[in-house]
Amino acid sequence: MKAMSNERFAEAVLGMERSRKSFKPSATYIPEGDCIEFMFAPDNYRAHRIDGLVTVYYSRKTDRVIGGLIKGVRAFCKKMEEKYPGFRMSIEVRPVRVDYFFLAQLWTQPSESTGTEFVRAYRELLQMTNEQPLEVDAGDLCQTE
Amino acid sequence: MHSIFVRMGKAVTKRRVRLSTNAIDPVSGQLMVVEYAHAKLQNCCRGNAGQIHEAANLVPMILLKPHAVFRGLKRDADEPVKNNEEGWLCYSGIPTHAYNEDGTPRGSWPKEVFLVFVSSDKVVYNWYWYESDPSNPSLPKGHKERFRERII
Repeated sequence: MKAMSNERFAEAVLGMERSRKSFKPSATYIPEGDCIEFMFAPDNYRAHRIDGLVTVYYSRKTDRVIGGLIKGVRAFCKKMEEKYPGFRMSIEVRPVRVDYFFLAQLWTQPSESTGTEFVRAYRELLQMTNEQPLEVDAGDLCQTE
Repeated sequence: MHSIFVRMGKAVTKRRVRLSTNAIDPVSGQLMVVEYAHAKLQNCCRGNAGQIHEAANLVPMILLKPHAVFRGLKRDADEPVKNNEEGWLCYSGIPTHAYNEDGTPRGSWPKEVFLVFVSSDKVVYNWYWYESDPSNPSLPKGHKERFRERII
């Protein structure tokens, strides 16, 4: 397979901009990375890795959480299901709320791993998902194939 | 208040024609073809003009001229292996510029690096600016704890 030139690639991506609609908060599953990316605002941001599950995006304008990434979604669900079989019931009922991932991570962390930054980020994530609930209409999340 | 749905079933994993560029293969030093996750590109296009320009210009730039490339993610002992994660690559570099929200170019963000993530199937699925290591500003902060090995 031959790659596109960088110029042609840039042209194609910038061409997608022309079909851009007004921003709406959204969450997207990216199967190639087994991750869910969610955005609450269209601000420029810097990313910060909170733990092995979540990377948050901080707005450059407000320094508030405006999005983030949940990584290794299926592996996380598998691990949760093995340790806490009841978790499966939560994610079997579709659509699954995205904040379930945050709560599951919070409730299973040993206290020594929860520093100030961790607490701040998860608090903001829960606040944001309370104001703007995100849901995942998912397949079998415990399947790791 | 309204809810947002994300579809994760087979429908979204259907093969479609993906955009592609060249990237440096960190093992051989030769060029390799990488494709781009369509869902990620679509996300960018829902953002601001600067994010679209980042995708269009900065991602291919870093894939061709990274300051460092890391392979594999470190994980906790009880964490199950994620799909082919050992082959995942993270390209790190400092682009010549960044973009304002209106898409106009500006200087690169101080004390930050631009990271690009590539799956073991050679699909680019994410990228973002990240705080740099104070002792080596061309590397991401915490790289020793985060990645299994540095190839370049």
